[in-house]
Amino acid sequence: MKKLVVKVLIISALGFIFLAQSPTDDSAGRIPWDEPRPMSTLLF
Amino acid sequence: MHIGNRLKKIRNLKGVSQSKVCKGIVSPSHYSNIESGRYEASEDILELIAKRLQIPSNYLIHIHEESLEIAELLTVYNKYIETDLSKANYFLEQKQKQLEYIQSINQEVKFLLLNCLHQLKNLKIQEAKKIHDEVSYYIQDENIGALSSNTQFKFYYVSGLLMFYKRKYLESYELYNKALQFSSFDIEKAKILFNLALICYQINDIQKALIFAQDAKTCFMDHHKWVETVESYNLLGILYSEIKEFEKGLEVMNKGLSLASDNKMYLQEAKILHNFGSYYLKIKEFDNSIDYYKKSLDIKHVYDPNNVFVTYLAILNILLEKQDFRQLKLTLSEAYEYVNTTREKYQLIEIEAEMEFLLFNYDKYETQMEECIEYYFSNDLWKDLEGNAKHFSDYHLEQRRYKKAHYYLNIGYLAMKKIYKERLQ
Repeated sequence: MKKLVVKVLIISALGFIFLAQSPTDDSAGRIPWDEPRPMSTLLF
Repeated sequence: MHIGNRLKKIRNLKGVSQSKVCKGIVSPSHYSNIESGRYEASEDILELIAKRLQIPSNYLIHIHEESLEIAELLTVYNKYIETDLSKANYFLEQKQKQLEYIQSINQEVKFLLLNCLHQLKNLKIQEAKKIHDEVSYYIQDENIGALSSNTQFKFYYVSGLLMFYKRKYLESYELYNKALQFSSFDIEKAKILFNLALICYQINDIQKALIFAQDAKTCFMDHHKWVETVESYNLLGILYSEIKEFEKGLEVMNKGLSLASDNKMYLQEAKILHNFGSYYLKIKEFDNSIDYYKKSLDIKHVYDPNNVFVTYLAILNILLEKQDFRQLKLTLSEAYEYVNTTREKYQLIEIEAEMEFLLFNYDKYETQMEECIEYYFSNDLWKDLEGNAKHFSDYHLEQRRYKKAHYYLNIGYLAMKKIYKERLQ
């Protein structure tokens, strides 16, 4: 029982870190932009 | 660049050891000195080695003599790569024999760089990497400083592009910065600035990306390069929306759209219409969003069929958000017809998994999501992984499967660390 509680605590702690550090604060979920491709140039 | 570089390249490509190549011709130590450039070999010796390696002897002799014919071929090849990829593909097929063993090392390097660029534009990244490896036999850190600034520019430029496609953004950033030092034309510089903006966008440094993209746009405008100007407006629109400066985003996207539609730039028009869709998705105006995506699809189906997938993916995201499962299923099966890469296939499986989750079909959700996460994980697709791993972990936690919850939470955490690392390094 003790082990289980510890596990749950660890998981919740990790989850908290996860949420706190999430770099993409995207309330609308994924935004699939039609991203530009890198440009190339005439080399010769 | 000397004969030793070429010997080493051809020997390794053919998978032959040094001792086998030189057996009965010269001593192993002498041969090793030839490869490292310490000794020059006589023509007789080179002819024997060519025979052993089963290559034309010309390929090892007169390696600094340039051919007019090859020079012309390279110019045409370059023009096709820039203007029409299908022509470039056909050209390469037709001229394969003439370009297999280019006598002059200088011209061979030029060809390899072009060929690498060509494969990158075809999105054949592994192929491009192999060709770049061949270039590395000739150009290394030790000798690059001795090469002409023009060759250095080409090498850094193509290498930067390769690293971008390999998603090694920081290496790409450094290579482009080096290319910038050796570029001699404004347009070249502007294109590099644009690519630097793209890298900064990929690593979430939006402020820096905005500066690069603005500079690129100004330069393109000054030189009346309208296609590139529209591409820059498009990028600026994405960047402003990402930092929630929606008014500015809308303003630049409108400028880009009118420039594109007035000048019949269909590819760019379709791209911007798509991004208007994404803009409205971001501010959660779903109906507006879907209208724009559909307008974009109409143009893409006619003028840019290779690029319809991303628009389907966007529409699928909205249908998922609206929980319109009937339409979602129909669009999914349509979208599968336009998949170009394995990653795109998994992006659709991911949508399917999320749909199954919402429909309470947990068995299907589990199998599909597990598949996706495994694929994203083994291909270092951290951004694809992050949200999914977290969701999957939460799901297992709710099912009281703590071991699995912990496992996927860790994967999500790792993905986040990787994303941050890319950003901070």
